[in-house]
Amino acid sequence: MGQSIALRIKRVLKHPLSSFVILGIVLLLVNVFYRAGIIQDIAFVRSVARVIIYSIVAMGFSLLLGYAGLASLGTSGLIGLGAFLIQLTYSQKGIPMVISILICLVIALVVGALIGFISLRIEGMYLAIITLCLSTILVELFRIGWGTDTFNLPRVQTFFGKEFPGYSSDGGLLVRDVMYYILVPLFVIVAMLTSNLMRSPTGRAMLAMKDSDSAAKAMGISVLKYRLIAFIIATVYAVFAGCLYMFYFRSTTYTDWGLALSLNILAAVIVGGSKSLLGCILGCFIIFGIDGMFLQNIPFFQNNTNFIYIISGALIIIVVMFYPGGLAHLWLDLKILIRKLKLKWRHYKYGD
Amino acid sequence: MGILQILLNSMQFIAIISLATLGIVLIFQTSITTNFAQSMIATVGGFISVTLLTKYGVPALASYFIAVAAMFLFGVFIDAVIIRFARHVTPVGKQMLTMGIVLLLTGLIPLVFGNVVMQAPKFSNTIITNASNTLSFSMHNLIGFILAAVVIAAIFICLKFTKWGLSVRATASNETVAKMMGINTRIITGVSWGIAGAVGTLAALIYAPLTQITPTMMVSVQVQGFMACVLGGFTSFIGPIVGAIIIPVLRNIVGYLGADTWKDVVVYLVIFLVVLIKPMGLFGKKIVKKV
Repeated sequence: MGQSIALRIKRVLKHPLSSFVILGIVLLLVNVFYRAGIIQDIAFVRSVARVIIYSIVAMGFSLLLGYAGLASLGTSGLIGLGAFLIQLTYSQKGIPMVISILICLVIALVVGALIGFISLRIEGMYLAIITLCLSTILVELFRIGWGTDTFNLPRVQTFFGKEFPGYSSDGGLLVRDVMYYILVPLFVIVAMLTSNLMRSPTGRAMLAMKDSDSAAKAMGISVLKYRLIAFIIATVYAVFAGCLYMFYFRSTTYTDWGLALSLNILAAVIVGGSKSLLGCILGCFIIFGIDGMFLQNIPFFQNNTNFIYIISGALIIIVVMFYPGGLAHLWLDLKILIRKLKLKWRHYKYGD
Repeated sequence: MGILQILLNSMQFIAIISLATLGIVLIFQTSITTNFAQSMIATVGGFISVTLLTKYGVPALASYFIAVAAMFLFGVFIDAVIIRFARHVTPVGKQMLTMGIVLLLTGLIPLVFGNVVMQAPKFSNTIITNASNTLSFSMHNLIGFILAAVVIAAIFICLKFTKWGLSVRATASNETVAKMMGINTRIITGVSWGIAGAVGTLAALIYAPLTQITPTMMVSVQVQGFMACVLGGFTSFIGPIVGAIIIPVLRNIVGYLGADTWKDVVVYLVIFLVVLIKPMGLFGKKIVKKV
């Protein structure tokens, strides 16, 4: 009987989506540990939240780059669009939280479709730079519309007409805790959806399109349809992440959404491996997380913040040069290495 | 303020952006990647020049020469150490390499040059006005513009008429075939990176006195350089320069017509619409890939 339970657990663990659930539980535990006093630093939890939010963007980007083969440099503008739309709908117009997120997603759908149509005409490096151009226009609009001040979003007070769990006029941090517990399940759901999508006919069609448009067309794949899908999903994810960013961090200015953020997300996807979701999350952890989670606590890096840039720069160069598939392959390569070592050990022990 | 004054005001940015654009295009054609590190390399050149000038009292002209030469060597070094070994990396991967260089330099600049804010002196502080006092421009802009024009003209003449130029064009059109024809493509890409570093530094030297020298000072120039490349077409050499002339002039004209806050939006929208109509830029040609 005991063995059959072990087998059952093993079978559940082998399910491709289980890794996301485990990751989600680990991420939830971060805040639990913080409340329990095991993790002392609030900056640690905030960095984890940052990694989660940007991972959502990176997952959409991975679909766009790794599957559909379309490069975009406009990601940051789209995240900013989410953040500023929340500013407009939730904070200025007073629309409830869930509805304002839904409004953002509808707008994202339209914007994504527009970029998808543009991608039919403009290709390759031109597309990347035109998306950068559009993102710059968006950021300029934020600057003109909202000025150069930092925006602070008021704490969420109500949720479907009831008082938001954890809200009290003085204990603001608890609201952030509840936001964190909302954030993690959303992240897991998005990861599962994306993972399923990548292994569905849609994902396969995108892969075919990536290698050659003409060949994909010859196989009866509608390039228009799948480009639109890829851009809509990437845009919706980016805007959604922007909404979540706003509700968690609650402040923004237009300078947050420049070219550097787009490049960082691109770097996270490339370093992690553009075809693997877990790789993307790992890449986001390396690019956005390590700094705030660990390096800030080491006295050497506190005094020499420049070394953080140097380390991440060197890491990107080394990974791209010597590990072009991304760190997602690390696990597989380690497995192969262990198997080889085992074989050698057997040869050594028992002879050939 | 007449149209002539607008042109005069645009002069400095025409010089800066066209130099930056030339570097981006040279690297794009020989290494097939958009070089995000272009602005960072140029900034390092600016830092070298200012440090030599203010800390060690080197004469201005000598410091400029040293900065340009150092960045030429630095460009060659980057190609020899990093880019050459990444020939089989995808174009996006190569972009990431240059992004890594940007981060590396962002960290290294304060370590090497210190965290102080520095101000570079202008080439010349005189301001020239015509007799009726309707037109005015600074000598600094004029010198910068002439310098940029001479350098760009020299590079174009070399591209057109020398063996080196022929090799660059051959490498740009097809690296493998160029290799078969006996062209040492390694030297060609290396020198292209070197020239990109040198012209970038020149742009930084012209731009630095107008603002403060910081690691991020060239980022907007770089973005406009990319826009110029897209507007003119990455596949030609002359197109991006035309783009680099159009962008500052257009921006100043829009600003003059009264829409000062909206000028960036208008310029980017125009670029977007032009590229939507001509997807390969104004001068670019479409290269059809075989299946």
